[in-house]
Amino acid sequence: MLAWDPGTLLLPVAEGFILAYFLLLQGSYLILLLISYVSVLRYRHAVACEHWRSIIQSPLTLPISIIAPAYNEERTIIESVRSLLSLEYPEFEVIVVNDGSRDATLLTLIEHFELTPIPVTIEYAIPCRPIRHVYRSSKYPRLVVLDKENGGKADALNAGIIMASHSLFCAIDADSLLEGNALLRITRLFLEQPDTVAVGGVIRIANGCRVERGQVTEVGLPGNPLAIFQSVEYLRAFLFGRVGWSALGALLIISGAFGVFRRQVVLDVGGYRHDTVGEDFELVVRMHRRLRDRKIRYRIVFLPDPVCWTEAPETLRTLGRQRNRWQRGLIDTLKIHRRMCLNPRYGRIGLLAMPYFVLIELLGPLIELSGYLFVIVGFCLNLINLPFLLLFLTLAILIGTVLSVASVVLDEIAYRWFPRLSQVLTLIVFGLAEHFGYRQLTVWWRVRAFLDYWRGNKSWGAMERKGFTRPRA
Amino acid sequence: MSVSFILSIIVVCLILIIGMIIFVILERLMLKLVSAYNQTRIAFFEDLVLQALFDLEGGQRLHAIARCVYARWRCGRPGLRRFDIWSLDRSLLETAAELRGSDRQILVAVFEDAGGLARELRNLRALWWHKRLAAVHKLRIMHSRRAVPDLIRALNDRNRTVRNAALRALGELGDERAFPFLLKALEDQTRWSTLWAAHSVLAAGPAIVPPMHERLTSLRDPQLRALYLCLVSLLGDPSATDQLFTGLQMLSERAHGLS
Repeated sequence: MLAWDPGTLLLPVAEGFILAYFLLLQGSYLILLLISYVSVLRYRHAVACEHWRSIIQSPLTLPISIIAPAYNEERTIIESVRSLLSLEYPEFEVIVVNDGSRDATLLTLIEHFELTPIPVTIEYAIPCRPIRHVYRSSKYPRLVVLDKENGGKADALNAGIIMASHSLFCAIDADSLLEGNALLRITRLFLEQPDTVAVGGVIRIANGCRVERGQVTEVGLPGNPLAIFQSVEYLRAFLFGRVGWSALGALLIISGAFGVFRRQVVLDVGGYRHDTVGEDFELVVRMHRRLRDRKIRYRIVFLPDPVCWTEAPETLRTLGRQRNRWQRGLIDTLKIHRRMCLNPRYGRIGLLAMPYFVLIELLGPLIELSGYLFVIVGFCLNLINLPFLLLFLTLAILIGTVLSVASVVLDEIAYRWFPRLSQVLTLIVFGLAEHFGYRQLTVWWRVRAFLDYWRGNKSWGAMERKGFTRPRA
Repeated sequence: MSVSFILSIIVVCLILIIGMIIFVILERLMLKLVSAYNQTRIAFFEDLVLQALFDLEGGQRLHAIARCVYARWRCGRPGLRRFDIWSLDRSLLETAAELRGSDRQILVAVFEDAGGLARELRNLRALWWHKRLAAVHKLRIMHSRRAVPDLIRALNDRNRTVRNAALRALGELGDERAFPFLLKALEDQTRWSTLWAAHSVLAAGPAIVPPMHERLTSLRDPQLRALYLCLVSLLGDPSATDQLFTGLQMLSERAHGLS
């Protein structure tokens, strides 16, 4: 009778699984990268000669309501609202929703913009906590401020949608800055392709940039290494992740920090959900679901050039909370819409995007952590061939670095945001360095999110903001 | 997965990473060189010409520049290299985009006589769609009416972006030969975005109002009629308001089963 040897039985299975997952992961990333290169360059050509002024001057340009939920944002709110009011667009309104802030956000707004309360009758077409007051500014007629009971970001966005007076609305974070022509660029698609229901734009990190009068006037790299790692991550996520999925017609995420939606469609699907921390992701998936259920032709697209600048967390604690929340949002949304996964009724969304998100984004951190544990245990039990392991790790790191460098180069070819070569090279170095510590940290935060989700944690976690500062001269 | 296979992929990755880094460095270096080169070549074009092209004042000066540029081109482009032609081309286009009226006409004439029109018309038949698109945009900016028949042909381009650009170019050119095509685009929702087509119709200006009135007499679709009337009123035709009012009344009566 043969003795049971866990090494001979389990090792090949585990090895095979890790290898298959590795090939699936890197293969899908590489395919997305290739698709993104083609689509970003195509898009660049398409808008290179665009006559933006003719769009601005046309009376047919679609008016838009910008909704900025604000909770305890007294340090950045003035700069952000000023930035929004100075946008280059023919017709828009800015709706700032004070979501029951405990600090002086509302007071700061009232004093600075000379707001006065106005009487309005509110029809709650989608659920949201009561709106206490509506303020308007005599100085800035485009500005509307809503003061409501605290109900979270989704609730605040719903209040903004209810009060919006235009057919398109743009959801942004109150601590973000929109590039001057971002609205013009993002709404162009609604004009050109009327079946467009939602468009997402790029989020870039403002840490280290020079900000004057609510506009980024000089792009720089953050001084904090954690923020530089995030710069590389954002480039990768937006320039090849979202562009690739958008080109495949299966975009599942439009960032809550910057997205434009058709108001009526969002009202029809019930607005943002309050009971999830990934309300932006959930809304887009629900839109796909409902529109496909009703067999309505639609487009949900990502554009690589309308830019929104945001402040990235610079401490491990804040970043950890943010990543934890993102992962919980992902788990929640995929759980809510689990019936879409592998369901041919939902086409590319059900057969391609959802399985990808489940396998790579949702289970990725768990599988990666298992891989690390497997290596440690295997090494202790002398079951692993060390030279082979080192070779395999080198390969994984190099492929990851190729993806990061390729994103930086794509940004360089298409947009050249960073004025100095040294900044681009720094990003490339950080693209390599992130594999030694930073990546493992993000995996740990995302794994912890599973535990938090299981415990029923639905909190956002406090975010520390420094405000947009001027970089050192 | 064999060791040799992993090693070969590692080598490929390393080559890719190093290649991309070299590419970025070379690209930045090239940009610096081009910028430095352009700076020195500006002197070649005589300060007056390019300075004035960038910073125009008055028709007289423009005439002088036009003659100067034109003469240089006619003389077989002595000393003009690819970059110089490109710079000049760009200057002409940027300037033309800012100008109106007779000043613009002068630059259009320079562009056409210097071979720009023929070159862009050739580019309209290029294999690459982005070359065709750039040609459409240049023809639009230069307001070259001689390009209208070719732009009308570009409405059937196999690339949607080129088709859309041609539609908008024809609108901005405001040439009456293009009007039937603009109105057709406005009505054909399967091929064109109505809003995009409406942009083009508005860009064409009041000259398109008479053919729109003519079309209105035979148009049956109430939505299209309303759209036509809205556009006519936006184009500043006062008679549209009355017609719009009558049209809306008819629609309202029909909705209430009154007729």
